[in-house]
Amino acid sequence: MAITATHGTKAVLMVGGQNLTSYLTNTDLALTRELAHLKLFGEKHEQILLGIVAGTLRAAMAMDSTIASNLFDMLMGDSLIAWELGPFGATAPNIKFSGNLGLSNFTLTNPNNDAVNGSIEGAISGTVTKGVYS
Amino acid sequence: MTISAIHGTKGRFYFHGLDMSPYVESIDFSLDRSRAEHKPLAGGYVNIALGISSLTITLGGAAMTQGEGSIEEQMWEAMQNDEGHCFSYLPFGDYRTALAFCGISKYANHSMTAGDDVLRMPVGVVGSHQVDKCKVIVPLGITGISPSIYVDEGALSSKGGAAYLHVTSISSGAALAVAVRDSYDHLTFSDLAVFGEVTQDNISELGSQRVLVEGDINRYLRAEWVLTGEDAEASWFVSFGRRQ
Repeated sequence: MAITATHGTKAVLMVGGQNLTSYLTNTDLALTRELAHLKLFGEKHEQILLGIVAGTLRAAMAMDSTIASNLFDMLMGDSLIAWELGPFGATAPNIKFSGNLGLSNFTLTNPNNDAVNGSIEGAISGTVTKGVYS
Repeated sequence: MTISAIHGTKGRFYFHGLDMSPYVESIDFSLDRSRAEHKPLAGGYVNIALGISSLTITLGGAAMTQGEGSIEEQMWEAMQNDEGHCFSYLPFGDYRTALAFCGISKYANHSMTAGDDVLRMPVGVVGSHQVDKCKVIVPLGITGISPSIYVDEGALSSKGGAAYLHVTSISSGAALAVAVRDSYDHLTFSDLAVFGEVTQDNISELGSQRVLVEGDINRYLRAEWVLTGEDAEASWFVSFGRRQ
């Protein structure tokens, strides 16, 4: 069966109400479920029990004064912030993932051979919802 | 939203009384918040609570020089100084209204590398206490005519702030007194933050200063200064950050 691959640059990302899409150079969402390993006497194989979901959202991007200022405020704020990722783009009926996160890292870099760039990393908090754009 | 991309070479970094931009080849600014995880039996997902922020700044490729006012002299002194010194990081350039991240930094490693390359000293500093998001009021440069053009921040704020001064040079016999002043109508200004007077004799101590302000801060800010002495000249920078 042939698949229709989508280029990564189609992705769209909203964080804290801020559309980061036009700044992005890379983004990734990692969701994991904690595993309990049950290794019982008399058994040959372990059993796995699935537990709590944890996740991390990362984004690397070019920076300008406006976005750097906004991201600093998000990191220093006291509230969790909303996020939404559409890996295939924001048109119907593409899927999207959303939830809340605590922004835990913000970096800025001035290289001598490239544009000012940086990144954010957020720890996902609470439920992750999968939906579709309409 | 369209990005206004800026080349990395526009970045500037001031540490105490030194503009480090001519020395370093890159600046890496990393701000972290610790996080606590709550994993309840019911719910299925981790709940995150954010904690304390911490800051690390790495200045890459710094070329090492020696002598009075050199990077080695200033960083050696910084390592002996328990209180730390002010820093200002301007990722998009130094101009009136530019974005600046300012704070108190401490320097704990003094190292150098000699090899088949320029003699270098890696510089890493850690932030202590609050990092302020600031706007430049007076870009680094030789003294002009007081007062500065005002910076319009759009509205009054009520949670105080911090003013930052860096003096990178001052001529012999000169004295520089700088104040940040605020106004509600950009016509009548009052003192908001007054820095200590800087001379050649005390620049090693007062070459950078932070003045904290509490309460209301009016919409318009500007710097006013007095530079005294014969043929007096000084190079300095002022920014202000409102707290949230």
